Amino acid sequence: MILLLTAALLAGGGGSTGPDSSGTGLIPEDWDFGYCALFQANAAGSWTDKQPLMDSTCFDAEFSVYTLSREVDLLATAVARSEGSPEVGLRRARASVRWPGTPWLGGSVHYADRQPFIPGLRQPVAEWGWINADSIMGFGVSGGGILGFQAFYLLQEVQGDTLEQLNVFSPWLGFAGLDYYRARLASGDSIPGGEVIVNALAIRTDFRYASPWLVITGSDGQAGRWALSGDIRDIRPFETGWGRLEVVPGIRFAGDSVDLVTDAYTPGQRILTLGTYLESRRYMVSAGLEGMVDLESDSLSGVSATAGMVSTGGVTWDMMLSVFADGDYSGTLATGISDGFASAGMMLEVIDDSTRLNGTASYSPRRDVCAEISVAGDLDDSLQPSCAVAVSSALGPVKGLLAVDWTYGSSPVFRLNLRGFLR
Amino acid sequence: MRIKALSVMVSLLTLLCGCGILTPVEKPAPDGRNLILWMPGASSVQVLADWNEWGGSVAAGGISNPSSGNMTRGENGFWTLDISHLEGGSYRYTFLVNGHRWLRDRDNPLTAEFQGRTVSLIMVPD
Repeated sequence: MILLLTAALLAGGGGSTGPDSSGTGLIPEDWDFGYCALFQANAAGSWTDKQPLMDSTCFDAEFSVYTLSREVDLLATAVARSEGSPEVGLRRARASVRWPGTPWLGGSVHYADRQPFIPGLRQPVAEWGWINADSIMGFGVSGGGILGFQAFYLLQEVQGDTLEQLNVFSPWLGFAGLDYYRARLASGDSIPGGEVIVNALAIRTDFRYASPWLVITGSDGQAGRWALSGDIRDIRPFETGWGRLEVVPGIRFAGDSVDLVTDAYTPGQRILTLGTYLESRRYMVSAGLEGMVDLESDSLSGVSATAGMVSTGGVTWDMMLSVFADGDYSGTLATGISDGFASAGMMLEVIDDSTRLNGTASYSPRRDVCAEISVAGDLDDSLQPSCAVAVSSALGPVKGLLAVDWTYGSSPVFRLNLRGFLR
Repeated sequence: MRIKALSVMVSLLTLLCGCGILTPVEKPAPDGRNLILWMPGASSVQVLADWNEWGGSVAAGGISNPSSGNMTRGENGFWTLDISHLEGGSYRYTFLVNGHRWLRDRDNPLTAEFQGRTVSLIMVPD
């Protein structure tokens, strides 16, 4: 069906881009029809025994046709890929229709186009890649319009398993906005217990002087499979035209079996946080200081700080530091100087007992070409030097990268990457 | 001795501020909701983020689209991207400089994690 759809789109559009002004094909006048191509070529290898040795090559080309109107959204993407063995097929497709005049009512059929992702507060409840996007196909319906609410329901097949998704979004209710996400993956064999259920309710409120944001995660009331994270934002003891200082208290609590629902929390987590952030409206400078108290153990208790600035002298500063109660610490301090053609920088990276220094330099003979060199080494007896050279370009719609990496004790590795997007 | 060390530090800071090394530069577009990066020598800068499936790298096929999240090169080495279309919620993002180097937003103190890397976090009100 999808291939027929692609053929119909091509025949109707006649290969034109933009609105079909003639209106003679299958595409009506007010539909936007177009096509685009995306390609990527990769090669990687090493320099062994004074000879180059290719390790891998990959060529991937996508060709998409689409048409879009107020009522219809059609997309089909074909792919030709060669990584070891060539393959040609359909990578992604969708066909969706909306009720005329009421865009929130509609239905869709999709293939590899709607992967589950559930955002959280600081980390997502369900991360990208939770389920491989290449293997999802199914249909969905959308509804809403009542008081501004919108809802989507998707029923999909994932390699023999069934994935249901339900998303409900509220309008801004004057003091709060609500988003509800539900994902249910049902399986007979591959999942212990037969199914995984993730529910998440995101609540954003605004009470003028403070804005609590909450994300409540659970799994249909099962014991221990819950989590709660919250931040109280917009407490601003200092705010002027220059910028503002914001204080953000927060909590991260989770049940003992929360890892069966999401990876965003650790089981039994009980954490209190307090962050202070300085953001400037007018100037390129920011700073943050966060404290964290782990009520269950001291493993996550600690303090972290970030700061960044671009100065009028063309100097950039970037600092991150974390110190934990159990004695672990890490930090980076990076600074650089740059003008329109050349730049140089240095980064000091400290992780517990290891200290690494990294120096970089770059030169841009023209605006769309940049050559970079990076040299790094440990500041201890082992040294472990490494070096990386890269030349990148952005010539029109094509971006290219040629890079060579070398680490002490191993052969140099070179990479070539070309990516292009043609519309 | 302490007074001498303190006076040396104050003198050094005054010198650095006088040279402009510790004086922050003004943003090119203080109004509106934009991501801003100062990178005058870069050949290209993209924004990879939750809202664009990390440039396509987490979508089906996993190809990073070189036109996704492209920032616009402005005057004086600033790159900008308008994000006023984002709806309320939390989003992670990072800058991809020259097609290969990930860089967190120095102008944003909030950070998060993505695939083991430290990236920036923006919490957009409704």
